[in-house]
Amino acid sequence: MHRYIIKRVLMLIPIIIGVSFIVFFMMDMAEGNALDLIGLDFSEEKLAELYHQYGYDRSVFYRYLLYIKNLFHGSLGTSIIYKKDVLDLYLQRLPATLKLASASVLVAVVLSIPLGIRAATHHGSLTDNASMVLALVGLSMPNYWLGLMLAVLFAQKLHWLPSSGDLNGIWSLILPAITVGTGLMATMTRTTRSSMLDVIRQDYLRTARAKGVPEKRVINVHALRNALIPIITVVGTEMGKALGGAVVTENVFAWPGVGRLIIEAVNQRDTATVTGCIILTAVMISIVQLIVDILYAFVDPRLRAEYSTGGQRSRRKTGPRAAALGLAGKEGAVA
Amino acid sequence: MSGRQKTLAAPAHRGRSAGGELWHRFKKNKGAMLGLLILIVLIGVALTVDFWLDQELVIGQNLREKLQQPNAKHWFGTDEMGRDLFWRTVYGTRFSMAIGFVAVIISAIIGVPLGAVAGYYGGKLETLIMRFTDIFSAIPSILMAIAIVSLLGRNTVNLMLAVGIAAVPQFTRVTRAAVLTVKNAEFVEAARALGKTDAYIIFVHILPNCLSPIIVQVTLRVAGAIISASSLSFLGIGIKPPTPEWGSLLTAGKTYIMGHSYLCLFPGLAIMLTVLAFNMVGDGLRDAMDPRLKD
Amino acid sequence: MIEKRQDMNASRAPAVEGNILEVRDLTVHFVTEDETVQAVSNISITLKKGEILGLVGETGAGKTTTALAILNLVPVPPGVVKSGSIRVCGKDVLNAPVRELEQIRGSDVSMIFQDPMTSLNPVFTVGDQIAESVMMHDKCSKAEAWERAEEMLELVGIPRERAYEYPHQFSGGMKQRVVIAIALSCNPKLLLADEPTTALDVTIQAQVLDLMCDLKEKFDTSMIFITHDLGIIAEICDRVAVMYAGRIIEEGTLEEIFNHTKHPYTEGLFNSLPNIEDRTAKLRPIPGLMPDPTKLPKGCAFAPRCPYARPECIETPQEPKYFSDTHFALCSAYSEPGFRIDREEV
Repeated sequence: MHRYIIKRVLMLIPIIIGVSFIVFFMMDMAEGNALDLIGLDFSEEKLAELYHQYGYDRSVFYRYLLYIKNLFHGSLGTSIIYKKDVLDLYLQRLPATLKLASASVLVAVVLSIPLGIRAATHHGSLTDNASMVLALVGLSMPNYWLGLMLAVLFAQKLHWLPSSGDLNGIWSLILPAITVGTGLMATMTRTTRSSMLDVIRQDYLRTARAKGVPEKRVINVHALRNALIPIITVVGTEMGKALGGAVVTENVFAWPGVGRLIIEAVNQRDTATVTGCIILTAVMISIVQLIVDILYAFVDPRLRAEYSTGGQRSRRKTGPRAAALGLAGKEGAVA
Repeated sequence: MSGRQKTLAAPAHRGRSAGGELWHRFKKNKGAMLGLLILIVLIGVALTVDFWLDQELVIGQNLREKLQQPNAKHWFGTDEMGRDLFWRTVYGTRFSMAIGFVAVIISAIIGVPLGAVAGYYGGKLETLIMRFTDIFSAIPSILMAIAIVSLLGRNTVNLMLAVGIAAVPQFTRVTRAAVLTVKNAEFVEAARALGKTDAYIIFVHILPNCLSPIIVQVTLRVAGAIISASSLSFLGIGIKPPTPEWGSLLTAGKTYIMGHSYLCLFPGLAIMLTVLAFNMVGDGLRDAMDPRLKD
Repeated sequence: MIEKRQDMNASRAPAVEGNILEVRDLTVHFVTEDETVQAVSNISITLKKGEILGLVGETGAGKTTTALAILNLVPVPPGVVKSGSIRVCGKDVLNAPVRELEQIRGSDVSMIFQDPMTSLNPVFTVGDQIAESVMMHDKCSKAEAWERAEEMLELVGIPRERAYEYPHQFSGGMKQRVVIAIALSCNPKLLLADEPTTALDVTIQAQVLDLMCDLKEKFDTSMIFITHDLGIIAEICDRVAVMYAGRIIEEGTLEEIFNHTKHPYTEGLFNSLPNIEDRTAKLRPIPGLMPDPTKLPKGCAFAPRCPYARPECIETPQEPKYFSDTHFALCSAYSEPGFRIDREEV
């Protein structure tokens, strides 16, 4: 198990390098850079000096290698616009993003798993059909639009809740969390339902019933435990999405998180900040993924055995849980 | 019991072709049929709107009627220039559908061959492609699209490219998985024994047999692409107002959202309806292709 | 017709106290949008304490459905119990309240399923899965239940330490032993064994059969043994019921069925067995296939494959013909005096 974790952590390195490569080049080669923006009133010499200081008088490859060198020394560089270390900038914004992501994932998990179970056990019933229609509608709503509409309704018309910023504690969190949570809930309900539907047909549930296990326990213990793998997978993916992809919602609600920082930085061609934040987001997502993979081992003894026998798993998304993931992958593809 | 279930499932519709069987199951799904109907209407509108809709209705300004709430004359109200939001939304179908389809075609053109090659050849090439896919998808797709737009510049074509490229990993994965299930089939062995080229085998023998997951993926991804594209417009890095694309209609309306929320409501509903229709059809196709998931 | 048979059966076999199992006129259908499968039609079974009934028939004859109905576990939908009653140890299974049903299952009657590979929950240890049943019925502490679970494992020939392992760490034969241990953990009075050896190797089959015979000796459990292997039936059963297309078409003691075969279908079953003494003898398989269970004829479902069939066989409902108190066949050919089948009195 330890060896598996160490191996996975080491696998972060190529991901970091790859992500930095892609993002750095894309941002760097884009038209205009931050120096041009802040340097509008500077003298020629001053600008040339700044260009030299940030390596803009050399080729993009030189700047990239410099970037990687600094990366291995633990520095993500300095933002030209904010005049701050990128890591500090990121860490400053991270709590807000984490708060929003966890709140929405929590709400989604608490509501969607029981709903998905009920839909599966009452397959074809009104509850099932209604929750599936709602889930589909939830999946089909653009996040930002839902956010805007919620803000109009609850903040402007009803004056119940604040619609922007992070100043009113939990009250400020409600609307953004619902906005992000709706999509998550839709995906999770669908995954829970289809995963449970798969498990409900299994012979071992009949065995459990035949030995007199009450129906409630059959569903909530025997079936759910087996249906968990795809559900955990989706919770992980969605948590990752909420960490990195709540960009739009953060902008609707002026939520001071990483997503907003990235958009601000993109608009100001702040290469260092954009690259750094995206790398860190990718790392966060990989960490969530790792936690999910470790959770698998707790849920499924077959996978536990596999991890401890030295990780024969060739690649993510192959191996014995491929079937389970196949399901989850289909759901994930929708959002 | 298992024997019993087999006899239950099998005999219902003997003697129908695979396509007919698919259509028969699809037809039974009311949601999917509704979605299909909506899609046919939307695609019809998108293809023909240029011929029957008077441009004046879409871009004609009338400041005396600006910012009117929805009424009998202007069903969706009017914007700050007095343009009729209903007709602008109808006209916007053209942009949103085009962006959705073109973006997905771009993803498929890149992703499907990559996945097919990875699945067919295996080995180092597969590792390389899939590693790259892993890295690529470690970046959330919306951030990826943002980065691509900033690299290429802000216009409609680049928006499609960005949304399309950001969705490539999904296609690569789905195709690879599908190819893996087919590549050792006997008809592939036979083609190989006949000395057909790899490219011929991949395109003529393997891919046609992997179509079902890819088609489902296309349908669902068009929905995703429409949302992504409109999100980018909303963030101010997609299509600029006053182009009546739904995302930019919404963005334009955002300025007047105080008191004129209908300006955001209707374009959003249009997006939702379209995406919903694609999702319903995609779900229906998936269930029809894999009935195991349904009952 | 149902009424009539009911009356007749009622007069023949009044409710006897002390019968472990009484199934009366059980009819189970599977109803889907497009069609109705008549899985079980008008079956009656009685079983005394310590008796083993062999239930023989082809795949799809309704054997498993019958067993599931006895546990009231026919999947609903699409399953519908159209008529009939089932009493296990005097308790009405089909109308029992949920709580009572859960008590009946596992402690009065339990079932060994066909496929050991899929019958165990992959995420719980085998010990847990045995102990759960014990805890459910004996209302004992977890420790006591575990103790019992380990005993049960030893009883079926698995070292007790392995209680902490998961199903995937066991071979197929071992899994089937675990399934048997679960089924027996609460000393059920009736055991339904649904082809418990079909999925196993021949050598393991013999071991499992021995084991079940031993257990039956030890606990005096009544048993319904479902199989399509006549060899196994001969080995362990007291009585035999032959099912075809949802009906019991012949029933009798082991001796009566094997040596005084009456029904043409039973005859066909025996004829399609390879003869070890005379290896040159040709196999005589029954021609044709089981009828479509959605379109069963009013009369004898076997008629289209039956060498003795007359035109009216398929039209008219069959009446049971009794040859002794324990032996009947559902074949109208016997209404003609002097009718005999080839195999009779071998």
